[in-house]
Amino acid sequence: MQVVSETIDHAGIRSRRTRRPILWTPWLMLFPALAGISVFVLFPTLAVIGLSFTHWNLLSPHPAWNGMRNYQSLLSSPDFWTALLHTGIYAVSVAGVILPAGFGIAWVLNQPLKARNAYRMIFFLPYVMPLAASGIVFSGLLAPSGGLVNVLLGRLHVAGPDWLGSVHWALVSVIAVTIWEYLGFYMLLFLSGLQQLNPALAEAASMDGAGSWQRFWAVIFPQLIPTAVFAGVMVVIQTFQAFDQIYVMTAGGPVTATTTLVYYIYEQGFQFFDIGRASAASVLFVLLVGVITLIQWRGMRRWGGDPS
Amino acid sequence: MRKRRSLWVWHLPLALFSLFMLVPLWWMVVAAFDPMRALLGGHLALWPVQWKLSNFAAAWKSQPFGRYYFNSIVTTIAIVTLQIATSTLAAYALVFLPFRGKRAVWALVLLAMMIPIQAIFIPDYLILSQLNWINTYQALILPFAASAFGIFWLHQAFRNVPRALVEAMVIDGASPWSVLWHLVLPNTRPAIMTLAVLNTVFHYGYLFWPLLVTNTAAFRVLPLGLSYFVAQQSGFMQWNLMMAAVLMTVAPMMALFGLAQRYLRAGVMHYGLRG
Repeated sequence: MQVVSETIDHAGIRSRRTRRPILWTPWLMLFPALAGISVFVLFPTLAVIGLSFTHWNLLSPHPAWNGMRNYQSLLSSPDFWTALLHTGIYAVSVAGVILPAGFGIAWVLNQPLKARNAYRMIFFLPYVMPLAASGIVFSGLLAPSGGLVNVLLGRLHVAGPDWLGSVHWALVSVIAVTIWEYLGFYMLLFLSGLQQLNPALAEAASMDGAGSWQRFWAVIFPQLIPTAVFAGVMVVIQTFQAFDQIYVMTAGGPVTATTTLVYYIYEQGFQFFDIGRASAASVLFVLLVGVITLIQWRGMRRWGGDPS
Repeated sequence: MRKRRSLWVWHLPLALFSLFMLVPLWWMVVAAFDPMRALLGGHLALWPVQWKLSNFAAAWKSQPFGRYYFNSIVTTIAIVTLQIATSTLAAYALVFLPFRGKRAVWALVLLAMMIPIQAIFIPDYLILSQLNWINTYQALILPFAASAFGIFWLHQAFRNVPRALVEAMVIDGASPWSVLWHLVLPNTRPAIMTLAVLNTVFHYGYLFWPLLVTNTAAFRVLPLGLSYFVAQQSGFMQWNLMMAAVLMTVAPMMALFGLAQRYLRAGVMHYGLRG
C-alpha cells in the first residue's frame, strides 16, 4: 500500500523568508534535462510530423507543402512494404528464439547448479560487444571461403552458401548475430523474474499433489507472464531499431534483403535526400512502436496483477 | 535429494552452449594473431599458427585508431557524466520537490521515452547542421546529454530513499541541493552506477549517430572507424587485420565487463523488476 505522500512541502516547512528560492529550485533542477529532451526529442518529433507533409531534397531552400502525397506514395511502394516485412520477419525470428531460449537457460541457471555464475557470465559476455564489432566478427565467421562456419560445413561435406551475399541467407545471418548479442540480456531478465517467484505457492501446489508439469503451468507460469510480456515487447522494440549490425554486415543488401524499416528511412533520408518521404516513414515507425508499447501496457494491466 | 543429484546432467548442454557463445570471441582472438595465409588455408583456425603482434601494428597504422580511441573515450565519458547530472537533478525535483505542472512534466518524460532516435534523426541532424555542428564533439555528445530513460530510471531509485530521512534534513534547514548531495546520492549509488555502466556500454558501441553527424576521420569514433576499415578492404578481406582492429575496439568493454559486471548484471535484472 502506498501511503507515503508524494512530496515534501519544503515551502510549508521552511520559513517565509526562503519561500521564493524554493519555488524556483524545481525548475532550475529540471531545466537542463527538459531543455535537452525538448530540443533533441520533443521538438524533432513535431518537426518530423511536419516534414512528412512536405517535399524537400535539401537542395531547395525550404520544404514545400506536399499534403498526404508522401504517405500515399509510401503505402503504394513495394520497397516500403518489403522493408516492413523484413522488419517483421527480423523481429519475430529474434523474439521466437531469444525468448524461449533465454527463459530455458534462466530456468536451468536458477537451479542450485555448480558453476552457474560462470555460465551466467559467459552467456552475458556478448552484450558488452559493440554491435558493429559483433557484426564484423560474424562477417568473418560467415565468410564464403575460409570462414569458420563454411570450413566446418565443408568437413561435413556440405557446401556452405555465401551467407551475407545471398538474398536468402543475409537476413538469417543478421538475425543470428542479434540473437548472439542479446541472449544473455534476456536470460538475465527472466532470471530476475524467476527470483521474484513466490516459493510458497509452488510448495502449496505440490502439497496438494500437483506434478512438476502441472506446477509449472498452473502456478509458476502465470507469475512469469509480466516478465515475459515485458521481455517480448523489449525484444520487438530493440529489433525494430536495429541498425549498426545491418550497416556493417550487409548495408541493407544484397539488393534489399536486409533493408529494415529503420534502414529504409536512413536510405531515403541520407542517400536519396528525400526528406519528406523519410519523415513520413519515420512517423509510421513511431506509430508502430507506439502501438506495440500500448499493447504492452494493456497486457501488463491485464496480466500483471495478482495471479490469483 | 534425488533432484539435486540429477542436476549435473545439465552441465553437458550448458557447456556445449557456452562453447557456441564463446566461439565467435575465440575466433576473433585467434584471427587477430594469425598470419593471413593460415586463415585462408581452410583449416579450422581454432589456434593461431603463430602468435603475431604485427597484425595489431598494421591495423593501428591503416586507420587513425589513436584518434578514434580518444574520440570514443571523450564522447562516452562526456555523455555518461552529463546524462547522470541532468537526470539526477530532474529526478530529484520530480520525486522530492512540490511544484505546479509536475504531472505534465512527467508525462513529457514518458512520451519522450517512447520515441526512438531512429525515428527523429532527420530533424536532429537538420538542427545540428543549422548550428554548423556537423563534425564536432557537441554533435556527438549534446543530443544524449539528457535522457528520458535516465530520468525514469533514477526516479524509480529515488522513490526508495526513506522519506523520514529527507524530511528530517529539511526540518534541520538543509537545502534541496544539500539533501541531494549528502543523502540521496550516497543512498542510490548502485542505481547510479548501473545507469552509468549500461550507458557506457551503449554509447561506446554506438555507430548510428556518429555515422550521421561526422564525415571526417578526425571525429570518427571506434565502431565507425571499424566500419570504414572494413569498407577500405573491398575485395580482398584481411580478416587478421580486421580482427586485430575489432579486438582493440572491444578490449575496453571487456575490461569494463571484468570490473563492473556486478553492476551490469544487477542492472539488467533490476530492469526486469520494473517489468
